[in-house]
Amino acid sequence: MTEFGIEFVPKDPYWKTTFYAMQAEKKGFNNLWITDHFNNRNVYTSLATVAVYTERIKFGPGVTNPYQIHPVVTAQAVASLNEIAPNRVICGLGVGDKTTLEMANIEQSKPLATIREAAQIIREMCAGKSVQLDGEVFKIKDAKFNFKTTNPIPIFIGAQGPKMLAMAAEIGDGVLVNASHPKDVENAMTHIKEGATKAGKALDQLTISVYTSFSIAADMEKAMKAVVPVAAYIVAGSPELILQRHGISTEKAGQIRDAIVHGKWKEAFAQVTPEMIEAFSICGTPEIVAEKIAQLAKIGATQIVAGSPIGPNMRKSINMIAAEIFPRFKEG
Amino acid sequence: MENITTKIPENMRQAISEKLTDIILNTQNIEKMPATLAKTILRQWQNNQLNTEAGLQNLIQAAAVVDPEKTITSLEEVGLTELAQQLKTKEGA
Repeated sequence: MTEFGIEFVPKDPYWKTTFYAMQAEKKGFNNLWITDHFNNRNVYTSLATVAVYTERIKFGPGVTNPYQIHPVVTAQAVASLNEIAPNRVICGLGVGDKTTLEMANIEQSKPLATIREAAQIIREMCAGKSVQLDGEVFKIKDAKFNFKTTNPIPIFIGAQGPKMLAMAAEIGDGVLVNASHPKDVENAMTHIKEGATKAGKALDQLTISVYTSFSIAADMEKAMKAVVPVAAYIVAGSPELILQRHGISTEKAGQIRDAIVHGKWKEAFAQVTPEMIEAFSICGTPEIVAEKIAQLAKIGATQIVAGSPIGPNMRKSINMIAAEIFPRFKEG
Repeated sequence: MENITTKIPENMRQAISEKLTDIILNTQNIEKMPATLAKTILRQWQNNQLNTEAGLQNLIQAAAVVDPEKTITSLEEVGLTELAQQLKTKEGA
């Protein structure tokens, strides 16, 4: 059985995100992630509203980062959400979006140590413990809540590179694999297995969640058109190794990046090819999308996250996923 | 407007509710949505009431605020000319 998550970007007013969140719950999605960028609506304000208006779906920041938000504050936020919606809160943690962090002059230094220590701080505080840590990045003297916590909050680590993937499997309750293509997920699984082995974990103890860029529609062209801006950003930000894996030249990626940096959106989006869309998204008609999900599940994904843009009309695309994709992968 | 929404045939309510919802969710004038009305619509959505008379009334009100032209056209397309005319009059006033 494959589970399904969905990602919302709070660039729209809270009521739109909340409307879609309720729709996702009604339609049977398991998890809901809201992205955390300082230039969008605040993630925890958005999640608090989702907590109030939903009853079953699990939800959390997906992902927050410890460069912008100190882990003691993240711990406080998710533990507070857990009071509103006990046993439904999950916490996605990663290094964040480089472009957005650069706007605030925040450097993503020591990513492995930063994520490892942040996960430890969040986990221990949410378990009601007093945290003392003399870490490489965080120095915590004695951090403890003045309120009681009731249940552990699963931590999912967002990862793309080999070392982060291995560490995510080692320390996380779940891994959010930042990829959409079977080649990338297959490669990721190698590192996830290494990390799980190091921690003495069986793979089935981990939720392996493939966090995709997703676009579904009855019309292939419309699905592709919707995903172009997201694909442009992914190509622009992808490491050379991943571009090479998909036969995309670094020069072409550089041209797209330059166009984005200079705000020349049309120029950037015009350079996105069908091959780039194929490499960096799950995009197409329900038949095509189902085939791609089946490939990812076969490789080892236990959960698929339908990430931005989801489709040309989000409401209709959510309904389409539920009606035409879920029956092929979910029990009952 | 309340009296007219009661005239919407039951078998059309779901389709009209979805049409109006799409106008609201996809409008470029999103900032025009009144905060109180947004909350009311969320509560009705939570309780599966957007295809009821009360739900439709709020959806029409919200759609007419964020995109009156599209709302009128949509109502005319589904044959709710009386309701469309009422909105036109209100817009023209």
